[in-house]
Amino acid sequence: MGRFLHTESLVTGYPGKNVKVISENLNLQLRSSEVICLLAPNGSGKTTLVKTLSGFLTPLGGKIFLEGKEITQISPAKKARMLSVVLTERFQSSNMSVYSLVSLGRSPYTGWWGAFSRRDHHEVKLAIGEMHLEPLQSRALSTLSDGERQKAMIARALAQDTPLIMLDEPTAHLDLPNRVDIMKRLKRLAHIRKKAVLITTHDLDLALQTADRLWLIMPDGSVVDGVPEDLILNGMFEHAFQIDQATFDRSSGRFLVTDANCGKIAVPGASEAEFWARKALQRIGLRTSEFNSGTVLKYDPDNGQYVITKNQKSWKAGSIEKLISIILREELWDPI
Amino acid sequence: MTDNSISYRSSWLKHFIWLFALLVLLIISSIMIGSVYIPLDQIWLAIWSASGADPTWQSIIWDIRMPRALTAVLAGVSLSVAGLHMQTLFRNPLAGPSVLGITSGASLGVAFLVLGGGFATGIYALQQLGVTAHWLVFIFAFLGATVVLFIILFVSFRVTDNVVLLIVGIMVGNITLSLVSIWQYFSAPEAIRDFLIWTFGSFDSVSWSMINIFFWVAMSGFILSMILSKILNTMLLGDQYAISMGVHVRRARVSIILVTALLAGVTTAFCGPIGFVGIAVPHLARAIIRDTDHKLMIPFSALIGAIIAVFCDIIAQLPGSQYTLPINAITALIGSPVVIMVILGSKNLKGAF
Repeated sequence: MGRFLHTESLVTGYPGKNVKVISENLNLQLRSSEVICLLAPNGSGKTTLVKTLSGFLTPLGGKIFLEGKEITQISPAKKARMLSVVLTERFQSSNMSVYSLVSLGRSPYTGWWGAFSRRDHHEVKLAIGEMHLEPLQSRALSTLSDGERQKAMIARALAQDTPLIMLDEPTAHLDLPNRVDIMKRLKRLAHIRKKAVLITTHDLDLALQTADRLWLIMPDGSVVDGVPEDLILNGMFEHAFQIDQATFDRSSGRFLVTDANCGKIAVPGASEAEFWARKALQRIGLRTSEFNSGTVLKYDPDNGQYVITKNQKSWKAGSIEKLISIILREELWDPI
Repeated sequence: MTDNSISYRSSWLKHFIWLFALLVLLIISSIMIGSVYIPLDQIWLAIWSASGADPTWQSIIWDIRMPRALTAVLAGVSLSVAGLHMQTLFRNPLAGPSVLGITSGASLGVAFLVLGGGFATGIYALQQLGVTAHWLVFIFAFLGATVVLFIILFVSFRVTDNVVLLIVGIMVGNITLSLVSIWQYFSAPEAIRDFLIWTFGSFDSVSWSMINIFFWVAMSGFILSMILSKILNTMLLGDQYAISMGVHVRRARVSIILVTALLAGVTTAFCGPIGFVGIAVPHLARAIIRDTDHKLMIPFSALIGAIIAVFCDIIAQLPGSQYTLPINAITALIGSPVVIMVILGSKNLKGAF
């Protein structure tokens, strides 16, 4: 797996009177057949990095190479055959049909008049097929749902038939099934058609499940590159997302919303009922632990009841709803 | 694609044929009717035999009505294609040929000539010049448009954002028009009247040699637009997507501005500032062909533009009367309700764009 794109001491940011440097000394690599998710909190320079890598922003320093060739030495027409993008910019709804939109992706290959060859038609058809858009291909973009339109935008990038695709928040504004669907398709594409795919996203869950590697932008602007599991275990993930109101739970791979007055309850069991009780406690702002000490919550399968014990006293609840109201009423938690 | 493309092709061809037939019908009507009614068979005679028809009618047909109908066709074509360019470049349904200030520049040029007053080119002098006066008006309008064009090109090289360019264009247009207003304020009433008449617009052409020039300008503008159609299509997705597909956006922008300036500038120089057609016709074309491909949009806008211009000209002649209404008022009066109907009918302005 050769590296398709790499950078040498790249500096990103905005030029002008007050130069604003966002990230410095970036040495990054994108390989083919690999999905990389770029994760970072809002405002940490995700879009800046993607725009710099895709050539919309000039780097403040350092170099970007595509297939070993410096990006500024590549003509726009040639670059368009190496790199395609899907931007966050929401496309104005339009009379344009899905087929016409996807066809635009072939423009780097057609002549001045834009006449299509057999190959061009084939590629457009293929791209439409990959995103399962055949039933929609003659529909106007304005009549599509957000998810369908996003798939059409991705199909346009696919028709451009480039070894590298960069997508800036392709799953924003979409519901869960659509998000999962799009990420799955992108991953399949990367592996089957040997493309390098760079995705920026806010969707931690999905990124952790799909990405082959993650790029994390750290608070100091540096970018850490690694396999998702490693980044979680070595604490990089928590470091990248330092937020007061949330803590990263390594055991579940999720961010937990925390309150200022948060407490802790021990839920040592592993049954289904206890799993969901744990989720409910986390939702109302409590931390859970596995140690059997202090305030303890257990599920009694014989009576179908939750039993909570604190200072030798115990309370019983038949449902999670009742459990929560008891906990909140009696303040049944240990201070942290 | 095959089934899809066949039905798609036959549907636009059908639209093209009926629109073309409508245009031919309107041109014939515009030659037939006016202050004097000329029967169809006499027109036939006047065109095909030198001596067959009444010499007065012969002269009305050849010297007045045919040049006027052709001027209307060329103006309609040029303004509509120019308007389409601006709507695509700025991705704004309200853009038209005048947004870059080029037509205001033409007004300033004409104001310089007509309101010049102190110069040797007073209006009485102009009237004595006869045919030459028309050429002078043309040349000054063209010079005025060119000056503004250079300002806009200068700006377009410096800014990266099209919205900035759009605002600068509108502001330059405002500055130009306010200069014209100040000039009017200090001018003699007769000069102001003559200038106002120019701003009403007119399809009256004086000579076939002018039409000849107009024809080649409109024709080359149309051909250049067709050559730009692939780039225009990619620009529909916005600058960044266009760049990502290998389009040299700055070069594309300058080409689009130059073609628009050629079409709109020359039309304004010949016919005066004619509003509405350039903004409205692309919307009508979109509503009819329901497509965004410029390979279709350019010819359809041209065709529909010609139809609207000739139709408005027929109305402006007030058939059977001695009066002629200002064409500029008629284009807006007839056209605006049509556009309102079309856009309300399509239920979605953005979808229509």
